[in-house]
Amino acid sequence: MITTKGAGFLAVAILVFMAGRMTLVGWLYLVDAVLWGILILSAIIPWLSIPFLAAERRVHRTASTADGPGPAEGDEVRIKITVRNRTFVPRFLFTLFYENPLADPLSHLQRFFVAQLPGSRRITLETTIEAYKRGLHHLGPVVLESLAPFGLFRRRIKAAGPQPVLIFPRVHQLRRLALVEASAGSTAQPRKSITGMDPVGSRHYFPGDPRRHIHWRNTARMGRPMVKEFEDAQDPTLDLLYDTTHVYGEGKDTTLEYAIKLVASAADYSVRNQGSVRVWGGRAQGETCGDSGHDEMSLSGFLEGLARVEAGEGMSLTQSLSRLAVGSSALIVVSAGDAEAIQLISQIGPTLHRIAIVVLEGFGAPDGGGALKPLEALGPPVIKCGPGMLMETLQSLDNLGGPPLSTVSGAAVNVPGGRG
Amino acid sequence: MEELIPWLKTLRRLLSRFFSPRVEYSYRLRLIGLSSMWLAAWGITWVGGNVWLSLAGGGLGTLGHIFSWYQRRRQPSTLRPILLAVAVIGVFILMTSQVLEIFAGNWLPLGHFLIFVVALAAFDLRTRGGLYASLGLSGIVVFFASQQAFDPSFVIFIVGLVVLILAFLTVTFLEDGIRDAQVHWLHHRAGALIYWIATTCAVFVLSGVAFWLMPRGEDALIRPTQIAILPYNGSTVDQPSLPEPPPVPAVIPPSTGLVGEAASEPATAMDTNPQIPEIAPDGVPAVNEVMLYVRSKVASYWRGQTLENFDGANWENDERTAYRIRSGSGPTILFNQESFRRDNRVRYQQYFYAQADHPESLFLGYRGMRIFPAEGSLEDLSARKGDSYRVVSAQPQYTPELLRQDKSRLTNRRYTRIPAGSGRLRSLAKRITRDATDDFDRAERIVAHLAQQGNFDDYRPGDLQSSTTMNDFLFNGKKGSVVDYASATVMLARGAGLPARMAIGYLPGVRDPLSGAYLVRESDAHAWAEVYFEKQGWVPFDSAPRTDVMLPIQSDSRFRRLFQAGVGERIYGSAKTAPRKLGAPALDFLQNPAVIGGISALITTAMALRWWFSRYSRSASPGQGLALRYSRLTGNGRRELLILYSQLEKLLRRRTGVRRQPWQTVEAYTNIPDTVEPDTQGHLSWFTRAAWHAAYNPSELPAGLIEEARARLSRLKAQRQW
Repeated sequence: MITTKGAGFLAVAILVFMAGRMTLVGWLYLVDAVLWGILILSAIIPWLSIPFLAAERRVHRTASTADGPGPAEGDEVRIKITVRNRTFVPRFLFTLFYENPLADPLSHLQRFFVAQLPGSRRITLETTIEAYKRGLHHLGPVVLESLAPFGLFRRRIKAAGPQPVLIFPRVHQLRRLALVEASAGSTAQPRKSITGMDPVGSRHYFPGDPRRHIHWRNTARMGRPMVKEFEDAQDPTLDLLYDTTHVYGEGKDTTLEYAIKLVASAADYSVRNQGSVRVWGGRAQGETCGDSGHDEMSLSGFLEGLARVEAGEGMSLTQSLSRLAVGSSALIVVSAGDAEAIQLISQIGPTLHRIAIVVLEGFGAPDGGGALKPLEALGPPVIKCGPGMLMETLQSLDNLGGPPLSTVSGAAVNVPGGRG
Repeated sequence: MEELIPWLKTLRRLLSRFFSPRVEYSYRLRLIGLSSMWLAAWGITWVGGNVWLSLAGGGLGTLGHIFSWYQRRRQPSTLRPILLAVAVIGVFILMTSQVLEIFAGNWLPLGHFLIFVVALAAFDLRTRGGLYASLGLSGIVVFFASQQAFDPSFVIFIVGLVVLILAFLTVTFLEDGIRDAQVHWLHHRAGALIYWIATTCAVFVLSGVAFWLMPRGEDALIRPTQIAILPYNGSTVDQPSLPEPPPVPAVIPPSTGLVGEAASEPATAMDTNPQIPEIAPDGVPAVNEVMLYVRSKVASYWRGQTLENFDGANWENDERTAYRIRSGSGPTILFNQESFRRDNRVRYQQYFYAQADHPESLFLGYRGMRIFPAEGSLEDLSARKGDSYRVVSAQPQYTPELLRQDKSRLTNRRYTRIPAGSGRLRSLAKRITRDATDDFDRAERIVAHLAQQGNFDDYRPGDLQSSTTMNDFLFNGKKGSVVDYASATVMLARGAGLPARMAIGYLPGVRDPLSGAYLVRESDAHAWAEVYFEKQGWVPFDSAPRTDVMLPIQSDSRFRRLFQAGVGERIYGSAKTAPRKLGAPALDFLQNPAVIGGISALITTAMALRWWFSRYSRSASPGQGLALRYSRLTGNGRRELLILYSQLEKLLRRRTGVRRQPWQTVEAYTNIPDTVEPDTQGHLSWFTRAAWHAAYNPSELPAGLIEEARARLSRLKAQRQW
């Protein structure tokens, strides 16, 4: 395949020949002959430079970051490519490259320039990069390219196919998370609960409430559906909710990425503290992880699920919220642009046992105006998180656990029972 | 118009891609571009261009490259291109008269102008596209020089240009290859050396094959049709009584007439491979100097002079027959009025470069129409040494058939005059032309008769002196020179009633495959006859059976013709004299006291400026003489510390078996966490920081650093296990 430079060179060679024919200046023929010699050689050498070269690619996580499931976002990943010369003829001046989505978007193309590969030998081309973003990435095919010796013609061959690499979300270790502690505490010291038997009050009906819990008498009184509330309705499992359908931002500073990191960190904390979590977002709808005694997945599996989440898949946060059980403890990560979900949170908030809300704003979402006002009026803590403020947000979540929970300003709020 | 818009957009995109705004930071490419400019400037001087202009252009270009190199990181200036454009226009205005000499075939002034364009453009040279353009313009200048380069020594400039092109391509390939890439350099330098040597050899071998295959006129596998305008030599005569004509190299087929195309099979005249004797029998040195270079698509007898009056022994030019007139519109254009009112539709050009004085001779190919002399040449209507001029000629369209229908008649009696007492000659002419059917047949019979019956003086093929008298030559079998043959032809023609005259000039000569020009040597000097026909004008006839003629259409072997052209001999001769020739312009130039004074003044000024600048720098930033960016830091034990670090590297190499690669930083090399004890790693880390400080930090080294480095190195050496 001729390159742009080669095409220009060919044009010059033709022009020089024509000039020679017109002017009969013999020197032009001499120069033109050399130009053609260069062209012919440039067309031949790439065809001889890269056949019978084999390449093999392996991906490792470096020893220094080998902790927990991974590789995770931000971990060092080592990609080794071994190029083997299967003939005894040495090879010179070829390039090897592949698309590397693990790296920063600005340096996606990984290129190696090999000046010399002796016959029947191999070289290892090694790259250590920091995994830029979680997700299921596909390393592009390894392509060997030769333009030697003058860059006028190009030949490429595919030496290795694409390779999938799963990057786990980054887990930040929280020092304390009040939501989990509250749930764990209730589990450790269960109240005498006869859930479903001892109603302590009633409240408005929300979609998802079991029909058998409908308080028919109060419904008749109020003229709208009401359901019974029970004294010990809260589930010890922490519900983690995030949205995959309203995604704003670019690169790894998107609402989805931030939400996944927050969710992953909360889940990690919960599991480390013998708790369990239930995740609502993406394709995961109520899957549990941890030590709840149910049919739950491991933390590794949970994180793998988060790693595979893609924007736009699964149900919206509104749909997830509608399935949230009454009395749950929930960490909800919502985008400031998702006015519908915010409205719903403000409605179901009172039905939950404990709740913390992280609002992702500043990611380019359409301005919701006063969309957050219902949340602020609701009372539970609303932590605002902007691009680059993930650590501060996690720290805020930490601070939510300052004792005593009920006295912390802006901390998780005990949902008063027996309303209505 | 709307259909053109997509094309224009595509063109604009391609141009913008070529002239990419990306700044080129490679100083190597700039050096190659600068070298090509100097090569072009020197080449144009070498072929006779003005040395001052070349030096000025080269110097200006050098300054431009230096200036743009230091400006490369700044924002592009909007004012600078405008100023440079104005400067280019100004230079053009100053050189207008010289540049317009291209219409006379002198391309050197245009070459000088282009050198100035390249030099001025160098002031705003930022991108690789600019470097390509610079290289291309330099190549064009070398091309202009090559038009007037007839000496094989010029191959040095051609090779230089090719080497620079190769270097440019290679460096761009490598620079592009290693940009944004992890580079794994050589394992064995010898292997790489062999690779590049083999590549270079392959380029030149393939170039040789391409040169051999290239349809470039002659000496190639695929030969184009070669046009030649040659005199009639009697070959059209169909008369059994006349013996076969001698192997005169006229190859005009009867069906095509005088203007012939190359025969598919080469003529056999060259089979004898004639050699001009080095020394003639009488001890006179062979005349083989190049008298004329002619660049022309059409080979022709180059006619320089015509002679009309013959007194029985000598020929004289009749002043009243001057056929060259000056143009009324321009003093430097001459017209050949003999070519007026003819069929002049098909034209061709010739460029003549006289290498010797030719009094009263001005050479033209058949049928010359206009002459455009270069400035200062042909002032006395003679081709003097160093003169050059362009001639536009018309290819004569006459054929034997046309000539047979024409009549040879001219009222001017001087063309039919025969010296007194030439009755025998008249009766011979009548006897030869007795059975002729027309005037052309008469002329051909005369030429054929002389070619067969004459006794040619082989030892003096190019000697324009009579060997004998007319009577002895015609009737006593004495040997005759080309002049005798031509005289006899003219006299016999006149005897047969045909107006005729003698033409003096040169044979076409040998076409040099290197320069592409016809080399016309003194041995190619020739004389022939011209007979006038009413409709076709003067038609040449040549009866001399010269066997030393190498006509361009007679190539019988590509390789053989190369040798016949004397390429090897000329290259060998040039190789011996090339260094002296190459240096001659410089030596001549340097012998000028003004130049020596100027160069001395320049050097002194530069040194003074350098001294002033360093003094100013010191005074402006006292105590920071060593703080120049990227300068090598010296003193204060830095060297000792770096030596200790190099000892550490050796130790590391022995212990770990890993050599530091050229692309590795010190930190990358000494960072071996998996295999090294923490204590050892601490020492390595300390050395890394110390070496960096010694190499790059201009502040004073901390006290005791050297001692600590020694102690740490000793401890590392003492450790058996890492």
